[in-house]
Amino acid sequence: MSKLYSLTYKQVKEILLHVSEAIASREGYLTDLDRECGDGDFGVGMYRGFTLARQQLENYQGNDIGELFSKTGYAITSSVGGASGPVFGMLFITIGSKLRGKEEVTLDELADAFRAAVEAIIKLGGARPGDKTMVDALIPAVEAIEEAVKLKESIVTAYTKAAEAAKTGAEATKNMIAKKGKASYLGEKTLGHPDPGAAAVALIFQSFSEKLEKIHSPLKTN
Amino acid sequence: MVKKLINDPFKVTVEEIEGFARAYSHILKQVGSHAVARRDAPIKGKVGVLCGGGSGHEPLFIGYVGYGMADAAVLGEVFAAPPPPYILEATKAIDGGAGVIYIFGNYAGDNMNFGMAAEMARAEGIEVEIVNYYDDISSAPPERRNDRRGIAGGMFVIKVAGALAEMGADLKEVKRVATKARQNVLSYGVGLAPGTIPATGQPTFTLAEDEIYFGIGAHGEKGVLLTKIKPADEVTEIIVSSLLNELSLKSGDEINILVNGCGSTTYMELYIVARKVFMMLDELGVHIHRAEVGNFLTTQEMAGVTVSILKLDDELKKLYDFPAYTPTIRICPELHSKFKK
Repeated sequence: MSKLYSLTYKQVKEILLHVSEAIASREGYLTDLDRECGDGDFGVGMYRGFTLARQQLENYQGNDIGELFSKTGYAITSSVGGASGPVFGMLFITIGSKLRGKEEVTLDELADAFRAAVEAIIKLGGARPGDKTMVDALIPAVEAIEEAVKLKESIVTAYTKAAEAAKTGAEATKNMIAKKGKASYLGEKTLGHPDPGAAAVALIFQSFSEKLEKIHSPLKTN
Repeated sequence: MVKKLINDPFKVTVEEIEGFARAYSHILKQVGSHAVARRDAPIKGKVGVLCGGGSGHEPLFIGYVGYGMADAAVLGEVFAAPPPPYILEATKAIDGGAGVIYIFGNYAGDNMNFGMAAEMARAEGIEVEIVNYYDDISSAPPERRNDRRGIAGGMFVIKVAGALAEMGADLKEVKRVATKARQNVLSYGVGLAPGTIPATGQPTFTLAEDEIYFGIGAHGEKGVLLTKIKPADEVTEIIVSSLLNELSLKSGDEINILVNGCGSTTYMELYIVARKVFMMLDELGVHIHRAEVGNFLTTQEMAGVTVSILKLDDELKKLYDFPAYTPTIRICPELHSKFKK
């Protein structure tokens, strides 16, 4: 059952489309979080970015998995602006460059690509764990995927665990004081509120794993 | 609805650009939805000067487009850097074949987006140089100057670069003087009340009725000294002493100053602050060549003032005095020379 351990470009496209829809549809939720921690514009920015990503994905007729991720990333950097645009864009662009030319991708390769994305984001934005940023959800998620690779688990399991880890990581940001970005200007006022960027990362992994589950077990009813 | 004269809060940038470009259509034109450029751009053989950043700080950026200053200004959403495509579009609109210089404030989002746009422009054969400014002394110590935020002093950098570009210098030279101006300008200020964000109505910081906050940033970034309201002379003394502490000026030195209103502070207050600035510098024997007093970098309806000092040499002085015609800055030496001696 090789499907458990690799994804085709068709499946990746479906997943990224679902992720884009999921983020764009949670604009209100992300805005509310950003009201407490920033300028209140994070939701609308993500809406812009992922709506454009969805269009780009729908129009892409090729079979390059790297292109699917890259197009998502470039849609985000080209429409979101601020610090979020480049950073969230970099996540997808880096994964895309690692998976360039592939029509099928294994969990190993995905893990590598996501890890490269973590490094690129840290290099770009300079955030460290505990700064109360998207990195606080992203690193746990990627570690969960790498753990799954070690244990030779399936892609579905890996991303289910990653989604859990990202969610926990985002929750944990409630107790951090922001050290980066606009939120850092509010200092202690951000205590008790989760970081919107980390929440967005949790949403990305949640919707990714949701769609993976449906693809793998289309007959399961939840 | 937030009590501001806006429509859809997420269309403020697009709508203000439309109104602004029409108001000053004899000087500039719209470039796409988020930028304006000199009417007669691109000018063949001239280095293009592009400035920009988040909206919400008007007249900053768009008000500096015209003759002798910026060829284009690109705005992002409120307080957010513009994404690369808008910057690239404006770059092409002012590309006269001699390259383009990007001048903007030192903030994470701006550094990233302008950096990306520069790469994109270079990939299309347009030479791009970048000079970000970091004049706000409150945001980092002198040993980490280039970590500081860019505030009102950036206006001097844009002016100086714009003048040399207008004189026909090449990109390397324009970068050189922009960098020199950047290295020679320091700013410091005080906030009395916050501005509010159009989309949420939320203030960018909170202060008690009688509190003032020295060093608070344009978007509400943490300041240096929180204290009670005092007479303007005392407040100004604190601001100027902090600047002089680092600027090491001596008798006979020449400077330009900028006394900048943050948005809702009255011109009356700005002139009173300026008075004390002049008194302090006169006492030192420092010569003030030009002073600009008014709103140059606001933060919505924030109350406060920032003071910027540009240390002059012959070149910077000449470049600042070079003619300029923009919505906000007009320098007309020919007209000035008509004053009887």
